[in-house]
Amino acid sequence: MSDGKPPRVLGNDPFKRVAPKAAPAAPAAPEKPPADQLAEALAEKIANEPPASPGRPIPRPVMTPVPPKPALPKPLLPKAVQPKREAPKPPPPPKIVVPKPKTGDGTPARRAVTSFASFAADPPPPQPKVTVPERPSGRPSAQTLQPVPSPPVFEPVPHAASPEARHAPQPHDGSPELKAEFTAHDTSPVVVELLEPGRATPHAGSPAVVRELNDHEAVPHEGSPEVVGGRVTELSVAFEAAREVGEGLARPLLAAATGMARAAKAALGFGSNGPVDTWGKDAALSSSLQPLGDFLYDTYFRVTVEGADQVPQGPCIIVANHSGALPLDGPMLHYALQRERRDLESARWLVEDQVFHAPVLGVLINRIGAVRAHPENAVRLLEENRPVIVFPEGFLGISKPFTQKYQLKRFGRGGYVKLALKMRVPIVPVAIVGAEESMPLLAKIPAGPLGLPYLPLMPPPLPARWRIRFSEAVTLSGSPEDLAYVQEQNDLVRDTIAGMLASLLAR
Amino acid sequence: MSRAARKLKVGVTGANSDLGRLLIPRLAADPRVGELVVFDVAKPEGVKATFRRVDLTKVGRDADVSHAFEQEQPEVVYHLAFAGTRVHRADIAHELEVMGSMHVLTAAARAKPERLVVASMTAVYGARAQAPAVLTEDDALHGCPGSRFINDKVEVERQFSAFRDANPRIETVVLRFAPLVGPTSDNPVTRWLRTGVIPTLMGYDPLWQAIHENDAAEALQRALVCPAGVYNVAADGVMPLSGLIRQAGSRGVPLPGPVLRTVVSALESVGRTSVPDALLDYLRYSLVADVSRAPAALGFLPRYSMAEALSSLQEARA
Repeated sequence: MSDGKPPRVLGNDPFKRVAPKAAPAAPAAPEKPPADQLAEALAEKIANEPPASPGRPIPRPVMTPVPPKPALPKPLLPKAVQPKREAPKPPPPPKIVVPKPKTGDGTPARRAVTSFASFAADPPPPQPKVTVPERPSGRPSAQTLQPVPSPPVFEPVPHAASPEARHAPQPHDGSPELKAEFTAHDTSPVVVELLEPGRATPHAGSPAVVRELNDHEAVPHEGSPEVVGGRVTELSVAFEAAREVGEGLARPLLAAATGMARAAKAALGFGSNGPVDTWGKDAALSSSLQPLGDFLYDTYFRVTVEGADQVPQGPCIIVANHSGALPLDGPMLHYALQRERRDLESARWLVEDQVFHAPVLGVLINRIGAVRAHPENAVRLLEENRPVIVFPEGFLGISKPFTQKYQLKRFGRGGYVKLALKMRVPIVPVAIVGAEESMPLLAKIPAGPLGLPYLPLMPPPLPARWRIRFSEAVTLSGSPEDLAYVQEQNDLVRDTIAGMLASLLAR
Repeated sequence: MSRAARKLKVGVTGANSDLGRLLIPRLAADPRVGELVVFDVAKPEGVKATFRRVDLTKVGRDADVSHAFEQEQPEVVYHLAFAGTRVHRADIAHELEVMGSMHVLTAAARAKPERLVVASMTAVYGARAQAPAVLTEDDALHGCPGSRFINDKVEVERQFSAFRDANPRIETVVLRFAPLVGPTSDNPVTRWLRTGVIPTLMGYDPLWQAIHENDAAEALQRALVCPAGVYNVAADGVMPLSGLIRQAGSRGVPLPGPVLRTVVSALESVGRTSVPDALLDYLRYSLVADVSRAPAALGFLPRYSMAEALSSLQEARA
């Protein structure tokens, strides 16, 4: 992001003034192609493209005089529409020059590149640099500014998306020499093409073109054409650009961040736009959090699941130990079921009032599938054929200090046993190991004014390895009125889970 | 059965309330209705109906309703005379809601209509931390501690329940409506949703329901012949409060609790519509009524989705 600022300023002012110089520098650029290995590949592909890029920007906004170019730009412009998405990105991403190679990897980026390449191909691959200088001649200030500045500026954007941002400084310089380097990289020409449509148009000052090109970005561009939009929009623009171009780590991380941002918004009470079901689950929000879930599940906690096939079809009660300073085991168990057993109805987990009615946290977990622990809710969920996840230890399970890790608290009043007897559904005991090490509860900070029983003092969730083991389903037969029987079964389930915990921990 | 075949004489109290205004034309056009009698303080305009002037809040004239009922002998009585608008003098609201209902029930016990229909609201269940996620008609009515507006409604329902027990031969129908919205509705919720910028409670986003006014009127009309009982009536689906406010064309502004209370009391003192302190629970806890019973009994499904119903609030504003 920081890079983004410099390119704008540098690119704009310097470009305008330096543009003519840049043209000469451009020729040098082709010589430099080896700059980045990554960039090279792209550059080679794009080498032909650069000429086209200059032509496009020029013809539309400013350059009417150039006869051949207009034809090129026109075709480009339609394509430019796609690039436009990227174009918004360009303003923020000055540093992102490197990413172009990545863009090649990223599917969206590739599309853009290929399209550009094709465009470029249409016109014979002249030297991009040469074309650039021509434009300035056509229009001394504005035109030159458009072609020259656009390449550097836009390039940085894609780069922002990509991890490599080092090239950015060059474009930032905005000096003709620097520009030449960019062109040399080959990546620059491509970028230029992509970026130019979006950027060039604003510079050109033709409102119609701007609107066409930048649907969403148009606003920032229009507001301050030279500055490429307000600083506030810079972040969001870069973010979006990054998302499109993103690849490898960047994409899932950004997706996860987007999901988290949505979740935070919803949790604070600003709402998400998705519809919710009767239980309050927001499917759209849940799926936008899936990248985060995948990351936690596969990479961070490296969850291993055993015996998920033992969960029977139809309604059942899944009983697990509750642990960790934050009630993350509910969502993770829910997520594990979702991934391992796609054939089951979507499970829901029951949450005690202390958590369910906690501000922010309560709304958040409700939107991703938590239901308040209440017998009527459980019955209704089972009637919907859903597996119901319960943590009979309740709040005691997650409020025990780390020194008591994995020591099971009392299993409530055996409500889940009565429920299983009444609804005639099986019970599946589950042991979860890893939550205590991930989120050790070190101390409790009083937080009455926040509406919370306490704030947990804990490190940020640590990447401990999680293991989830499902036991065989237990089918009970008896009367829910027979409280002694309920007690016995409650103890049996508790012992089963304790045994699984012990064996998991012994490994 | 026999009732379906013959023309009914229908009496309506509170013809000028939101629901009365919507229901009267429907009843007037209903082929099952032979004669329409309106019991109210003012005659509704443009409707062909017999008008009996009755003031349910008038001191010393308690028996007026009884006499009117006795003379008119309606076969079906709709009791809709409730304070729809904000009444700053809580004692008057109480007179109308609770005492007025008492007089109507007393009159009905004497006149013995075949059927008594009353409109209530799902808010009587109360938005509570301890409530199940979905409330059925059998759940207890907890009301809202500290809110006279809600608790008066609960009191009316209690009277009604007692009346049902004491008069088993009179069929009773209670329709508990989710918050009523629509272009012509003017009740505390619609006024609140139309304020444009709505402070809400940060960190909470409870689930709400709503019902379009036309659907509510249709449900009332169908109560003419439906099986006796209590029914929750709400549009399909639920919405978080944030989405509901957005759909209604306003903007929710989540504020931390203490700040919200200050803002609310400031708004109150300026005369702006807001949610009184006593009703903050409705901004905190979900209140979702089970609506599975009504469609079969009333024979209809609400035509407006929740989103459509809320969007209709903007029609009136435009």
